[in-house]
Amino acid sequence: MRLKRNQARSVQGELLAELSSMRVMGKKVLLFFMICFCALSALAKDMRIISLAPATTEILFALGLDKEIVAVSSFCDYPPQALNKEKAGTFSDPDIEKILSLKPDLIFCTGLKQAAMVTKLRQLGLRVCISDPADFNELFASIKEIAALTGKNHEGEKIITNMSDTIDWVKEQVKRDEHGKPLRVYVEIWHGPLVTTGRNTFISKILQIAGAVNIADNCAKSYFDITAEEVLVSDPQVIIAAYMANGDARAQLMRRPGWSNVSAVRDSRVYNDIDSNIFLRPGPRLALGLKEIYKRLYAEK
Amino acid sequence: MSLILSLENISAGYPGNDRVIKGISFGVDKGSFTGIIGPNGCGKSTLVRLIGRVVKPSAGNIKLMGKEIVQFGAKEFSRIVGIVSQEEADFPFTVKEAVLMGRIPHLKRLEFEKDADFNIADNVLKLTDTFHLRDKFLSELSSGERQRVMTAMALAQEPQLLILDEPTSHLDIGHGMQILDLLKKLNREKGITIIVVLHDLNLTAEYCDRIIFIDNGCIFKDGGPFDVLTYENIEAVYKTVVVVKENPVTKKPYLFPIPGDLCKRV
Amino acid sequence: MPKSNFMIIMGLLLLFAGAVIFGLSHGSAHIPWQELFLEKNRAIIYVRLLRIILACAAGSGLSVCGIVLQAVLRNALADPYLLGTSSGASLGAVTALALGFNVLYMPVAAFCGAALAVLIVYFVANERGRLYAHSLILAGVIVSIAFSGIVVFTVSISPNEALYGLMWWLWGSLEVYNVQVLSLVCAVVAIATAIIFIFYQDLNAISLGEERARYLGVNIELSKKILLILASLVTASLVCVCGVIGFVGLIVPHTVRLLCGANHRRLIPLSCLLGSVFMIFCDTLGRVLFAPVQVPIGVTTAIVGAPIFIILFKKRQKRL
Repeated sequence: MRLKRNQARSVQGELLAELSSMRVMGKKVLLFFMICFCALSALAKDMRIISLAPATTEILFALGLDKEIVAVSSFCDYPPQALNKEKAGTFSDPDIEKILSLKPDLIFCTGLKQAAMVTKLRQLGLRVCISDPADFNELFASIKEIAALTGKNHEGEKIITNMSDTIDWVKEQVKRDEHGKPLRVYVEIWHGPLVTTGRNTFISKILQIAGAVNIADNCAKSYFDITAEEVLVSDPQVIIAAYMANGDARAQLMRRPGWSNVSAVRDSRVYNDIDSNIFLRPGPRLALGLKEIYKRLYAEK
Repeated sequence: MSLILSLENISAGYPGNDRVIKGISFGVDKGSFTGIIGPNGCGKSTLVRLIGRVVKPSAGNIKLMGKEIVQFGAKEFSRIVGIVSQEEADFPFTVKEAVLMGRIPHLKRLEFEKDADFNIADNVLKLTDTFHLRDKFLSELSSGERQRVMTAMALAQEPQLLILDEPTSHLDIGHGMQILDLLKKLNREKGITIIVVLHDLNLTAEYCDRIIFIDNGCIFKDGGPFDVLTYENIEAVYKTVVVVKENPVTKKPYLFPIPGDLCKRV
Repeated sequence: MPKSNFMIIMGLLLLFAGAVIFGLSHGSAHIPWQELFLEKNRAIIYVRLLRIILACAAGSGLSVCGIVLQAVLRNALADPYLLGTSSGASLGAVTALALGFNVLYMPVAAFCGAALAVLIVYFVANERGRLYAHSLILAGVIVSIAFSGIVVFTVSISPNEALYGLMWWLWGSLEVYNVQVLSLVCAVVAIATAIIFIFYQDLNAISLGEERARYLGVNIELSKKILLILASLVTASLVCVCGVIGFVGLIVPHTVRLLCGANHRRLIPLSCLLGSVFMIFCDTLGRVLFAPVQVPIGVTTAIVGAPIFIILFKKRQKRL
C-alpha cells in the first residue's frame, strides 16, 4: 500500500514535474510565438519604404505593400493608390529633406539613371536598394530580392509565376502560328525628333518573344534619335506609337511625307492605343504589355 | 551772293545735356570757304550733326538753299550736301568699294553703278592721293589714309556743299595741306561751298575766308581771319597766351604760342 | 576682281550641285547617282529631297539673317538669334508641349514665342523712335537669358515627354513632317531674302556707320526697322520648323566676306549658296556618321564649321 502510495506520489510527482515542465515549455513556445508575432508585426508595421522609381513602385504595390510605402516619386502613377502617396521628389531630383523626415527603412531606386541620387542618399546613412533589370530573368531576380527584403516571398513568387505563365502562353501561340519571317516593328517613342528604342530595352525583348523584330535592334542603345529615312528603308510592317499625343497623332503619322509607302501605313497597322508604360517600365505589367502587343501583332489577323 | 545754308536761332542738345548749342544763327554764302573753330566740347561736331540731320534742333530751323532741311528727301539732301565725319569705319570693304558708296545718292535702289560712276570714283581717289590704295581693305589703312578715303567718298557724292569735321586731325602737315589745297581748288574751280571744322588755328587762317568761332554753344566771333584771330579772343576762349603776327608770304594771321612759364616771366 | 568673282560663283554653283547629289545619294541606304530616279527609290529620294529643300531654306535664311544683324548692329559676332528669337521660340514650343497642345500647333506656338521675345527687345531698346545698336544687343541678350531661364523652369516641372522635344530645339533637326509648313517657310525665306537684297545699298551704307549712312542719303531708321523685322521673321519661322541651329548665321557670312569682300550685293546671294551647301553637307554627315543614330544638325554645323573658320581666319590674319 505504502509502496503504491509512494509509487503514486512519485508518478504524481513525475506527472507534476512533467506537467510543470510542459507548462514551462508551453510558456516558452507561447513566448516564442509572441516574440515572433511581435517581430513580424514590428516588421510589418514599422517597415517604412520609399520608392523613387515608377517601375519599382508598381512592383511594391503588387507585393501588397501599400501600407508600408510612405512616399513615392512624382512620376509614380500606377497603381492609382500611388497618386495619393506623399511625393519625395521627381525621378531625377529627390527631396532630401522630405526623405529624411519620413525616416524610411528602405529606399528603392534605379541604379543607372539615378546613380548620383543613390550615392547622395547612401552618404546620408540611408539604406538604398537598386534594381536595373535588363531582361526578364533579371527582372524576376529583382522581384525575388525585393520580396525577400520586405518579407513578401510568397507574393513575389505569385507575381513571377503569373508573368512566366503569360510569357509561356505567348511563346506557345507564336510557335503554333508559324508565320515565316518575324514581323518587322517600329516603335516610336516620340515624334519630334523621332525617337525609337534600341535592343537594350524591354520592348525589344518583348517583340522578340512575340515573334517580331524591332527594326532598331542593330543599335545597342536604349533610346536614340532615328531618321525618317532609316524607318523607310527598314519598311516596318507594324508601327507602335508610345506617346499619348493629343488629337489626331495617328493620322498625322500616316500622312507624313514619304511614309505612304511604308508597309505599316499601307496596311493601316499603326497602333497608338497601348499605354506605353506597360511595355517600357520594367515592372509587373510587362506581361500584360507582352500580351497586348502580341494581340496587335498577330491575333487581329 | 545767295545763301546756300542758313541757321536761324538753333538750339540743340542730347538727352542729359539739352543745351549744347544755344541760339546760334549764321548764313553761309554759296562758293565761300568757311572755317569753324572752338575749344573741345564747344559744340562744333554737334553743329555738323545738326546740319547733317543726325541731331534734331530743339528750337530754330536750318535752311538749305532757302528750303528747310527737314523737307528734303534722304538722297536728295545727300546729292547736295556731302559730310565727312570722324566716325570709325573698319568694315571689310575695299577702298574702291567704300568710295563707290559715295554714288549712292545718285543711284536708285537697285541700280548698278555705271561707267560714269566708276570714273568719278577713280577721279576722287586720284584727287585725294588714294588711288594706289584702291584694292586695300579699310582695316589695312592707317588712320590718315582712312581719313583721305572718307573725304574721297564724300567728294564722290558731287556735292555743292561740303562739310568736313576735322579732316586733318590724323594727317601729317604734308597730307593735311594736301587736303586743304584740294578743298581750295574745288572751291575756286568748281564753286563748291566748303565748311571745315579745324583745330589748327593757323591752317584755318590760311585757307578760310571766314571763320566762325564757337565757345560754349554760342558764336563768340564771326568774321574774317584778322577779326576773329586776335590774341584777345584766343586768350578769352582758350585761356592761353599767344602772339599774333602776319604770315610773311600770305599776309594772313599767324599765331605764335607762348609757353606758360614764359608768360609768368613777361 | 570681276574674273575671280566669276570663278567663285561658278565654284559655288558646282559645289551646290555636288552637295545636292551627295545629299540625295547618301543616308541609311546608299543610292549611287545613276539610280537616283528609279521607281523603287522614289520614297527615299522624296524624303531626302524634302530635307535638302529645308536645308537650303535654313542655310540661306540663317546666313542672310546673320548678314543683316552683323551690318545693322555693326558687330561681327552678331548671330541671327541675338535678338531673342531662339529663346522665344523655345519658350513657345516648350510651353505648348507642357500644356499638352497638339503637335500641329507647336510651330505656331514657337512663332508666337519668338515674336513676343522680339517685341520685348524692341520695346526695351527703343529710344524715342531710334533703335541704337548697343541697346538692341543688350536687350537681346537680357531677353534671351530671361526666356532661357523660364524654359529650363518649365521643363523641370513638366512630365518627361517635354524633354525629347527640348533636345530638338536646342540642337535642331531638318526632319520634314509637313509639306505645307515647309512650303510656307520656304516662301517666307525666299521673299524676305529678296527684299533684304533690295536693301543692299542700305546694308552697305549702314556697315560704314550710322552717321555716315545718313550722310550718304540712307533713311536709316526706316531701313533698320524693316531689315530687323524681316530678319526676325525669317529666324522665327526657321526656328519653328528646324529648332535652333547655331553657327551657320555666323560663319557663312564671314567666310564669304573673306573670299569676296563685304559688298552686300555679292555677299547676300553667295551666302545663300554657301549656306545651303554647308547645311546639306552637315545634314547628310549627321545622317551617315553613326547610322541609325541621327546626330543633330546643330552639332554637326558646330563641329564642321569651327575648324574651317579657324583656318580661313588664320589665312586672313597672315595676309594682313
